[in-house]
Amino acid sequence: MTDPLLAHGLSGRADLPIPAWLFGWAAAAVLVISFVSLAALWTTPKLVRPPSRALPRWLSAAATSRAVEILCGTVGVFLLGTVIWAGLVGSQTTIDNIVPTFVYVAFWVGLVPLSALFGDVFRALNPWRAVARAASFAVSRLLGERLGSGLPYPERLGFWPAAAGLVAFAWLELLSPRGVEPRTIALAAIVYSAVTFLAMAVYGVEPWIERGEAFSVLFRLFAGLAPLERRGTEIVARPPLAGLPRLLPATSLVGVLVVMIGTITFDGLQETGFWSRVGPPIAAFFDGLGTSPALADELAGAVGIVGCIAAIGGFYLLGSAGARTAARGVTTRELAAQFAHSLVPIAFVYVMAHYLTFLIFQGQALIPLASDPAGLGWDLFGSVDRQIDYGVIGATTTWYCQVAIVVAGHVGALVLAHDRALVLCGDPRRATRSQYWMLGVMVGFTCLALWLLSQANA
Amino acid sequence: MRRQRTVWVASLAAAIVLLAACGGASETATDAATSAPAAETSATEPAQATTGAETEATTEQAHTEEGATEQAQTEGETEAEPETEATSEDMSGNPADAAIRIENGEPVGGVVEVEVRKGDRVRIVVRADAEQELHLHGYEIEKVVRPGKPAIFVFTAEFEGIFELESHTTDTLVAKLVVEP
Repeated sequence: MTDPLLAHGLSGRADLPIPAWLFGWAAAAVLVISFVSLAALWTTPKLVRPPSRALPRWLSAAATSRAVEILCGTVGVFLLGTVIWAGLVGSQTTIDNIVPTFVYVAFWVGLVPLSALFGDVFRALNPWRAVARAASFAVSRLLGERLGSGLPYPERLGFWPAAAGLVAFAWLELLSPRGVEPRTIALAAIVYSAVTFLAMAVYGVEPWIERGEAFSVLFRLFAGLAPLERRGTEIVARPPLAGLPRLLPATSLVGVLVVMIGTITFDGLQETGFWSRVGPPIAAFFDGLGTSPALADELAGAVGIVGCIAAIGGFYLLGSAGARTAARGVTTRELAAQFAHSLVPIAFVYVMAHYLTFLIFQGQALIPLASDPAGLGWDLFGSVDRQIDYGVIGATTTWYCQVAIVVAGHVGALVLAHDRALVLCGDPRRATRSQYWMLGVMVGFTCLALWLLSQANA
Repeated sequence: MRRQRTVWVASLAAAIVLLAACGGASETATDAATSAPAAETSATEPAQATTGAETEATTEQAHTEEGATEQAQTEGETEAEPETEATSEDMSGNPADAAIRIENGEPVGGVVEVEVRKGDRVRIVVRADAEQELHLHGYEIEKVVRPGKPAIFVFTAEFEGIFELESHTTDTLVAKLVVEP
């Protein structure tokens, strides 16, 4: 079985598991907060029309100007181009090439807190959107007519393509033995770009960005947590989390979030003693079917990821089914869709707690790698000898941060679910009753996150 | 109204009970934590003992002197003690020792876990039957080990976390350095 530390490939460092006493305190705090919230939370929905205040005119105008948009798009395209070029042409040693660190740290992890702080920044930086918009602009100029928007986006497709994209990325990052190779990542980027452009040509740029393009959908979900939001040409400040109730309730949205939480759960599970007991027998099964050991490992991991996604999804559906007892006349699926947005804070803290030190330490590697992106011996900015400082954050501080993050996510999810229950049930007492099951689900997810942290590399 | 108050009281009671339980647990846990290094020490000793049949011992003097580095490097074939390599000593500056042997590209006895506290001096001696390049992540120490010429890593454990010691040549994990606060 491949050692999970090496499975990340990028970093030779892993976190210490949180000590048992901290796990106990955190779980107790979660339970206490949950009980108190049942008794004391507000009785009329507060997040349906949240207060907002527009930022100063000049700031909004500057941030939403065409110039800034073109600049951001250019940066995004440049970065995608660098990934493809450095991956194909540069050194294939993982730590000497910027591609794995940029894609798995700066892009995949870094954009999460960035979106949660500043709003949907990826929308401006999205290279595929930028290229597609530039292309349609050029074509309309050349041909003198606007391009048709292609076929209407099928409603039933929903967010499923985005969910599929996230599964594919998770496969590359977590399962594929070649996932840290720069060339593999570059090729994956090329394939993904081709698929995205094709889909944009068929369904139109904005419809695909809104529901089909995996990263756009993901980062826009996290942007709902941010205190800033763009409305047209205005940037407004509003309470955090307030962007989420406006998400379209859809079963496929549940799919996206369950996939996200499930894959990170598996990433954490891989480092536990549980997986070191359960994984090898699964791999042995595939081995017995005649596959190579590497493929057997990969397939065992696939079973693990699917299992985690199924478990998370099943548990969530169980909570939705229980909530039906108070909200009559609604199916489990509809309820699951109505509460899907409350999973966003949970997904967010799963990412932040699990990848916190990955971002803080491996993120520092971007400084020397920027000077020599392809490992060819360059030194563009003079920083090529800079080493990662592993003393930036200690183990104890890391533990407290991880636990605080997880508990905060629990609170965020509670708030959103409670508000939605009030909207659905009207009557505050019935809303609270319907929340017992959902609360159980939230506590379950939070305790799972804490358990994973306490078992990692234990 | 009464129902709300009931829930409040119940929550408060639950909170007090849980926090008291965790407070008690944390005391026993800290006791457990301080005795854990001692327990782990005795745990790693038997583990090393079982691999002792093939493991060569560092000389006993190596435990106490830094100058023993030279002695180990001259590779006096001392089969003195076939057991007990990894002793995590107290933080008074004595080095924590670990000896690893690589045969056929794999560490004998499985991946070795070297557990220390932040600030400990650590010495890891690696012997191998084939030349390979060893890399201790995080501390970024690279050494080459050859048959008959062990690689010796001596450093202070200043960074907390779990760090890999791997062979770049065979791409295998040799040891895990666990530095606790």
